[in-house]
Amino acid sequence: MSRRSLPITTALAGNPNCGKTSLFNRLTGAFGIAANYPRVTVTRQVAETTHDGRTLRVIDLPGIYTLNGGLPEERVGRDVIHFERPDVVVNVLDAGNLHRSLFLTIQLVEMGRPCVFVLNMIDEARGQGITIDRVALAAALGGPVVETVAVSGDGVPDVLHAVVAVSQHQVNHSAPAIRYQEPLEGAIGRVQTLLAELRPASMTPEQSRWLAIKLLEGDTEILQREGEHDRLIALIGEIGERIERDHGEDCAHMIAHARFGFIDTLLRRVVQRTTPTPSLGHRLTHRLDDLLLHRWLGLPALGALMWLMFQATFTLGALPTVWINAAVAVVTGWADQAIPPGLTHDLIVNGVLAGVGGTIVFLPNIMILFFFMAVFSETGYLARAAFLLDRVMRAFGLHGKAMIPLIMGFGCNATAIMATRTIETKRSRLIAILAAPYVSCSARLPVFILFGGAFFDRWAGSVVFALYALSVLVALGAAVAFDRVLLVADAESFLMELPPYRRPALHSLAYQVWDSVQDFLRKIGGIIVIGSVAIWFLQQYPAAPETATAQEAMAASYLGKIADTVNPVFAPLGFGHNDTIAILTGLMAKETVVSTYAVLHAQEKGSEGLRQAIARGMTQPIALAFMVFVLLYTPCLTTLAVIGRESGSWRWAGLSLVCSLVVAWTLAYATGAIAETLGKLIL
Amino acid sequence: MTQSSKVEQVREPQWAGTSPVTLTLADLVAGQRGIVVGFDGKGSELGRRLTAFGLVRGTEITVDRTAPMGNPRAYTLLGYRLSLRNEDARSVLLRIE
Repeated sequence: MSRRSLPITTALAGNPNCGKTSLFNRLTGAFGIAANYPRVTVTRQVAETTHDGRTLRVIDLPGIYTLNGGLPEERVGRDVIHFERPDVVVNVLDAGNLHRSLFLTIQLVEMGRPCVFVLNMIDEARGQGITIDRVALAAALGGPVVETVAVSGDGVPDVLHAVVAVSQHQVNHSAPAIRYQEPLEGAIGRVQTLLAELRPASMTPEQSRWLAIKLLEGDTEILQREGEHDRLIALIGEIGERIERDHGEDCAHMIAHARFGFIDTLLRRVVQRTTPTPSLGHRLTHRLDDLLLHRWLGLPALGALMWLMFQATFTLGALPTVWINAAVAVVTGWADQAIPPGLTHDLIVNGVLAGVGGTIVFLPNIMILFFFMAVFSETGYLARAAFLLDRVMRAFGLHGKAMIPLIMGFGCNATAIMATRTIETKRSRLIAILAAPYVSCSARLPVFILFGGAFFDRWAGSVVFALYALSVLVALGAAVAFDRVLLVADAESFLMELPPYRRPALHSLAYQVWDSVQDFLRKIGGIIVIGSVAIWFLQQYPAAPETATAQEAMAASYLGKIADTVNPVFAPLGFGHNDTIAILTGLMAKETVVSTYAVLHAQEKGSEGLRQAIARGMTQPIALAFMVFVLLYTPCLTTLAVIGRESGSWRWAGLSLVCSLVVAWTLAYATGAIAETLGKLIL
Repeated sequence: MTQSSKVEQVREPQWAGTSPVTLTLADLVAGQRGIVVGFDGKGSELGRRLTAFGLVRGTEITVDRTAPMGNPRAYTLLGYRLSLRNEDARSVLLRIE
């Protein structure tokens, strides 16, 4: 009976682009981020759901093509299935692309866990005239086969049903061993014998067969784990050498060839193609790619799409800003009246509301930016961007796939750095990680919009665009610099599937925008409120005598003293007290730069007042220098933490922090000086 | 690494023996159909990765399109499209149909 109460651990495994994340969302009612771009699930996600009175604990594994352990995601997949031994493995396959998808399936079957096979995007496959004999396929693979369209939810209950049935052994699970021809079977046998000798009774026959195959395939990582067994390593080496000498092919290829041979035979039995002509979707993809991947027009088209994204972010985003401003004014006015004068009143009105109100106006811009990024990734265009730019990016020491993280960096640097996991070699990945923080994330946007509006009037848009261009240049420059400095060159490759274009699912787009909203609001509710209250407190205390002017009170406050200490560093750039404070608080998160100004100028009501107050504080060249500084110095604590985690060493996070401060200071100084000189020349 | 694989290429694999001319995937021209016959650089990580994408002996492959500046290129195989740098494509040995 106790078995019934335990949750059924279910691992979702499949190729990138097979719709696994959509299925995960449908199964669990959770919302992960799906993308028509290879390897979007960079970390594993876990969610629970119930079916038929049973609880299912569903693990969404990263999308992988093989379990061979070359990539971090492949190791995650292999280790979850091997060590955590989930009750059921749900293998999601792209029904229209069975040939390649089944390669992973065979490896999963060989691992010996009970499996459910999901033929996803069955509608696309039918559109191609493909019919699949599910009964025969199920018999061959040793587990139930379910057809689904995860995006619309068709067939999803059947998956849950199959998982529960398999976990209760209602379905006869018999993993059919795939037989390899000689000399492989003999080799597998020899390794298994040695394994049994070295570790008696610790493994089932299926487990030891699986391990033997993995070792022969040259899974170096798993071989290292067997490091204490010199005899095992020697045997593998000996077998490998003999097979290569006798057959002119290494074990890994021989095994892969045998697997694809098995797949060929299987597909000939279970798949029928009625129409040999390409489907409408394929033809459309081809037409679109003729333009978007055109040898001469492809890059200009990419540039135009990026320009469209930023243009929309600024122009469309300006409209709702007016309404939000009005709403903030109403709430502030109401609070001003409702709360009796005193400390609480000041804390709420001049601290919390000023800080929150000053930041929340940028919500529409952030939503639009994330909407565009979601569309690019869901349609499959981001993979094309990587394809188009690989050659160009290599000139800067970056990998083509670094294109995706860098574009994602316009949204958030921390997620961008996590997305670098798709890059195969460590070195290219490290370069991308260190370059990513210079890409202007959405948190810098409020600062640019505020300062652009305050100082540059109708040129604001162009100034902001120039800052984005500068951010890309600095990121590329940083990549080149790190490329020259970092270690020796490393052999690297660029293997990427170009998926067909797919219409993005509305609920998924909505979710991604909603996620960015939540994230922004969480920041406002958390760090912005805390930061605002802290700034307000440090500014209010120690309490100045009634007679003191605002300026005298400010100078005597804790905040004034802190600013005094740090200010000399920024004095050469022309930054004043307030600017120094804003930069310091911005180290937590860039949005706090704006909320800090809002609190410091809490007397000036509304964003118009804030703008005017800031405009009085500095000249145009200094304002430019300030924007450049904010653009380039360390984005936020989160990003630093993620750099430390993803690069595997805090030294890299430290290096990133120091570099960004030096680069920001130097370029801000140069910008200010050049703008000053130019200004004098023109006037 | 590259040195040793060069040496191996000279000694042609047995199973490629039926074909008089062995080219690499990087030499494949649009409109031609190639059949994979083997790999240069055995035991390499790249070779293993390529197998997972279906590039094994006997797989049929065609050129789909070329990126600006001629590199990387996209290929069609097993009913899907894969993009590969020319440097990597050079390690896939082909027979032209």
